[in-house]
Amino acid sequence: MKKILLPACLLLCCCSIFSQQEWAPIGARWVQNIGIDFDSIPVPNPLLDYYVVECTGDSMVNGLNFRKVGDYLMHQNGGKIYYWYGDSLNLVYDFEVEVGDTVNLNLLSCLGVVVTVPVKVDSVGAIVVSGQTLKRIVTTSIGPAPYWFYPDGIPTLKKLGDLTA
Amino acid sequence: MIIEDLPPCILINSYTSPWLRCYTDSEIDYKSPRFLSFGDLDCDYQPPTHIQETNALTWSAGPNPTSGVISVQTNETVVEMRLFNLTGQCLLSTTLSQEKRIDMSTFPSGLYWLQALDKQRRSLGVIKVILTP
Repeated sequence: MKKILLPACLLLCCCSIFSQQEWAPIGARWVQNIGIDFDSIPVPNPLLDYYVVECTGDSMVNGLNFRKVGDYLMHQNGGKIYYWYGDSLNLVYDFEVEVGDTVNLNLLSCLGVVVTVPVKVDSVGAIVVSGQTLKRIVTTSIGPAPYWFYPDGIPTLKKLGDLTA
Repeated sequence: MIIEDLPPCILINSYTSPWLRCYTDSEIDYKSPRFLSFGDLDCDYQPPTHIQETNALTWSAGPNPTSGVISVQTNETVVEMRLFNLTGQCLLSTTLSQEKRIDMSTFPSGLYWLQALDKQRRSLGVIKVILTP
């Protein structure tokens, strides 16, 4: 299983600011950029490749509702988004945070072990996309090392936004 | 987890951090500003010269992880080394001296890409380097 590196120095996520919107409506589709073409001389081309993550349907585990997102089952509880791994829920996004909060995300290391990654909320704002006002959260990793892994198949953003911008 | 505990798999995993090109659902059709900065491209764009590198490297560098200085072991075909951060920004470009050492101590700890070029400035491959505090 491929793991995806997240240099969690800057997290930028968006969600609906006015309503408790679904994190991943069925049919939601993320196109994630991956890779840099270093053979492109003199300037590396950062658009080497991509992969697609889609929300394909619903599921239920231990009485909890899940959405199938890529290879993972995702559970939404309010503004908190979890993925199912190791027979437990692991927090991957939190859109209920306020400026100054610290939130512990549970991400996967490349050994397949869940690692707790503390991030500090730097700002909470809003942007308008397709006529919808979306919450924009910027966080900074305060962990001991900037090497974290998002589970493969989970988009690196809540709904819109770029975690590594 | 501390840096020294990082397993070798971190060196061979995906090229770089993923970032959003596009998001769509029934209500939203979105391209990220970062993706738009490259022009009005299709979300599934791939460069026409996309080539999967399959040849073994003719050079190596170590120690890796390093705390600052990394030595390059190579034949004479490598004449230039370039150091990139994970977003592809070139941080250092240097002609190899006889010592064939690259000092990374001025950069913050983290992950980097190290690339070798031959005298025609063709890429001889890249490796991922971990710089520890």
